[in-house]
Formats: sequence, C-alpha cells, structure tokens
Amino acid sequence: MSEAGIVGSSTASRSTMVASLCDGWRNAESIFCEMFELSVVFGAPEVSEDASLAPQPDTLVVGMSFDGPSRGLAFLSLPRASARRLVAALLGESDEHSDEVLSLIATTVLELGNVVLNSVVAEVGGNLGETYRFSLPELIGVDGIDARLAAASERFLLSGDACVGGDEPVRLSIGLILTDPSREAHG
Amino acid sequence: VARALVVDDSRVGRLIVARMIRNAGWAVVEADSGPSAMQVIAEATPDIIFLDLHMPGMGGQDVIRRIRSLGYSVPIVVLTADAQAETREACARLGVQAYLNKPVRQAMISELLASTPAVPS
Repeated sequence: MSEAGIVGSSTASRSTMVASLCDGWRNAESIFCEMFELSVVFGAPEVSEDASLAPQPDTLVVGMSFDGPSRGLAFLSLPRASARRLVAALLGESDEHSDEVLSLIATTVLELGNVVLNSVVAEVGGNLGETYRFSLPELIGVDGIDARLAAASERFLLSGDACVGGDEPVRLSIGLILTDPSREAHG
Repeated sequence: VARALVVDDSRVGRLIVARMIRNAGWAVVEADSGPSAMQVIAEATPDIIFLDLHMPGMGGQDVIRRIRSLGYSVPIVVLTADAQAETREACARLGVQAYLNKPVRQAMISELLASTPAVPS
C-alpha cells in the first residue's frame, strides 16, 4: 500500500505541479521496470498534506536546480539502505555491501534522479507553456533540502513506496521547491 | 558482429544501455566523456553511437559537431533525460538519427538497431 502526500501549496498552479510529480512517479516506475529490469510494484500515490514527508536523516537526495519564469529545485530522495538494495538488485549481486555495489550507489541514484527530475521539470514547463534551464543533477545534503523547504515560496512533495521483489519497500520522495526571488534578494 | 559505442559519463547509464544493446546481439564499446568518445571513434569505428547529452566538459552536442566536422557519417542516437522540445530540435538540426528520452526500453533499442546497417569493416 502506498502512502504519498503533498506538503504545502497555495496557487492555481497546484494541479500542474501535482500532475508533474505524478508523471515523475510513473517515470520512476518505468525506470525500475524497464531500465533497471527489476520486478517492482508501485502503489498509486495518494495526495494529502503531511509535513513529515521531508527527507529523513540517512537519506540520499538528488537535486536539480531550474531557472526560467519560475525558479527552484526539483529533488528525489530515497533512504541509503534502499539505494544499496536497489543497486544490488540492478547488478544481480547478493551482497549489498560488496565494493561494486557501494561504488555504484551514488551514480545509480543520480541516474534515477536525472531521468525522473528532468521529466518533472519538462512536464511543468510543458503544462505552463514555459521553458526552463536546469543544472546537472547532484547529490545534496538533507540539511540543504530542509533549509530550502523552509524558505520556499511554494513546495510540493510526493512520497510513496515501491516494492522491489519481496524486500522492504523502497521509500521514494519527489519534490518541487519554488523559490521566491524577493526572499533570495533580501536573504 | 556489429558494434555500438555508448557515450555517457554515468557508469550506471552505460551499464544499462550496454546491456540492452548486447541483448540485441551487438557488441559494445564504451566511453565516459566526449574526448574519450572521439578517441574510441577513431580507433574502433563503431557502426552506431548512443550519446548522452549532458556531460561535464565536452557535451553531447559538441561531440556531434566534432564527429561531423571530421567527416564521420556514423548514425548517432541521442539518449537523454532532457525532454525539452528545443533540445530535441537542436539535435535534429545537427543531423542525429534518433532522439530517445530516458527511460529507454529494450524494445526501443532493439528496433533501432534492427534498422541500422553495420558498416563494412
């Protein structure tokens, strides 16, 4: 059973943001199934308000800044332990702590974030008729996300579970943080 | 055996695409950067190139320009997460054979390779 939620939001663009995150959610499922060739079941994401959905400690976060008519940060996060299991499954490796698994965790999460976040930002732009420039995805700290969430003018966060094989579900979060330029200008 | 070159700075990105290409019965060579790709092209004469766009340093579009300026006519398939129309159009103007958005699927790769004639060596 999947649990997901939207944190915050206020404007008429809310439905666009939510739809874009849901598109990213579907893309994540497609990546797991068709790129990683994993047997995975994604629950249908639910949308509700729950401030506890911000990334927890020991979570890997991939962020991609975007800039255009709006600016902000798109991010994807999953627990480090889930990422380790994901990489082991991708490699067909039984030892989650092997050197090869550990060496590929960062690049796997970055690749996952790259595909999902590009689709989310492109979907937002397509729906709003806007074009964005965006950065290469990079790993960022949970503290950095917390600060951005706190300072955001709007924030949209979807979180849910993906069941890979018979293992514990992988907890995935996808978020959009919109930045208020006036807050940036005045610190 | 026909040979494909996969160019991607992400090791996992290369691993995934290379596996799909091998599943389709092709051999694979890999490069993790634009300059490395240019070296492989000169030495290994690939029959098709699968190219990531957003790489540090020499990006995918620069690689395409460089390949064409050197007179290579090898088919180039862009594989990217960049879903923006203007990027797709820019690559079309550079003469790529196909522009595939990630996530890629085995069927997409297999169909593309099936329609790609190998260059006689």
